[in-house]
Amino acid sequence: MTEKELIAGCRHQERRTQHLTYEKYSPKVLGICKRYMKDRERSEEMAMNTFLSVFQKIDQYKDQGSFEGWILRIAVNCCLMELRKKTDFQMEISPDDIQLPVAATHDNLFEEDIDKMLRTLPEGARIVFNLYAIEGYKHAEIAEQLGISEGTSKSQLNYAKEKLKKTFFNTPNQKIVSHE
Amino acid sequence: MSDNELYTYFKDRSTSFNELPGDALWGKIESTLNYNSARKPFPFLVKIGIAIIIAGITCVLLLNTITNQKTTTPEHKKILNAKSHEAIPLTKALETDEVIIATVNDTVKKKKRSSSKDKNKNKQAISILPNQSSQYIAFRPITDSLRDKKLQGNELTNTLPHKKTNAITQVMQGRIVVTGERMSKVEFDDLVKKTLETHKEAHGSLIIVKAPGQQTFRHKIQALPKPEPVTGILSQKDRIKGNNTNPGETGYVRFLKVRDTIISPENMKLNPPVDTLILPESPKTKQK
Repeated sequence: MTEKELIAGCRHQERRTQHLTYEKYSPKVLGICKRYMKDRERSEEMAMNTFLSVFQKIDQYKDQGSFEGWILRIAVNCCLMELRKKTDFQMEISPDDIQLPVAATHDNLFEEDIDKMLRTLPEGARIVFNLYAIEGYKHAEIAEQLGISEGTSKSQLNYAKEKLKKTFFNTPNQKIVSHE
Repeated sequence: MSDNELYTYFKDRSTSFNELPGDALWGKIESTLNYNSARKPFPFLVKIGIAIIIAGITCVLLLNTITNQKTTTPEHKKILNAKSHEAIPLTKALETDEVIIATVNDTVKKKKRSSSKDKNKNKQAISILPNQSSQYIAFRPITDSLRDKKLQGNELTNTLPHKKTNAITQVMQGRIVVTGERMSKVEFDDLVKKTLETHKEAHGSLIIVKAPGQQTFRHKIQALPKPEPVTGILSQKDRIKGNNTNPGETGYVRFLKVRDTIISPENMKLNPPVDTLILPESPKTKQK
């Protein structure tokens, strides 16, 4: 089934088409939610909210952009809405505050396990890094989304990338470096 | 490692988070969607309910107006006939509730349609009212009496019962001045009337009636006309006899009746004659 047919079916509230849409986009949606939320349970909850919003507000979708991009943006917004309730994004952190974990060496981390890498970051820095590095948001957009200043966003990103570099990419014999 | 390399590293591997959630999550989504779709018809039913209620109200109102206009029932006919021809007794009119409602509604209609043409009809309608002996009592709100007298002016004061007015009368040469205390216009008019009655014989004097808050009343009572000379009473007989001509012109002295008494100075003092001797005015005095 094509994207247009999926959209048309969702607009008619056809349960079968909705299920197909879910099957097609749910892995990516859940992946985004997992990157932002701490645990799987909350990630699934956010994924569910995302699909409910998609099916209920399908009429708001203009056929200008890609349908997948629209769904993934909804997923990010759902996660940010949830995180905004509990997380204090205002806190500014300098790279001098970085404390490396005792067992944080590349030997006990899988090179592909970026999930575990990101979990070493504080929540604010992790979300800003996610938005900037993976989603491709600008600092202004991040600031608007999280309700913080651009300076705070920059400092959070700076902290995140410095910590990641120092923790995982500092040794000269790293496999990661050889991959690139 | 540069920043861009770090970003690329994480971006490329971000797909490792992707994972199919499973049917359990879809089950939850489906149940929520079904629940929401089940809730949807509720507002539709509410809309239908509101529409039915509105339609019902309009129907009731229409029926009410139609029944008011229609006079098909025998009771209505009876009453309307009675209105147009003769009065009906109270007991008959109060027999049923319907009759009362009909009469009340009819009265309202007639009030609305009141025009010069329908005046006679209205009179007839009034004549069917059973209580003929009732009297019209002007409604006057009690607050009116509490208002400031100044604001109300003469309208209120005129309706108040008259009280005794105190006035001081000063009689001077050629004028009588009556000064009263503060009073209403009606009371002042009464005072003027009384003053004129009291001093109606004060000929030639100016009567002034004053009272605070009222316009001063001035009226001059006309002086009595001067008595005509006695010469005017000459009889025709006297003229024929040659006693001659118009009196006053000649300057003759005429004596009237003479009594059969001896005229002496003493007698004159004690019993003056009834008819006084009046001399005609001389031309010299007239000129003066």
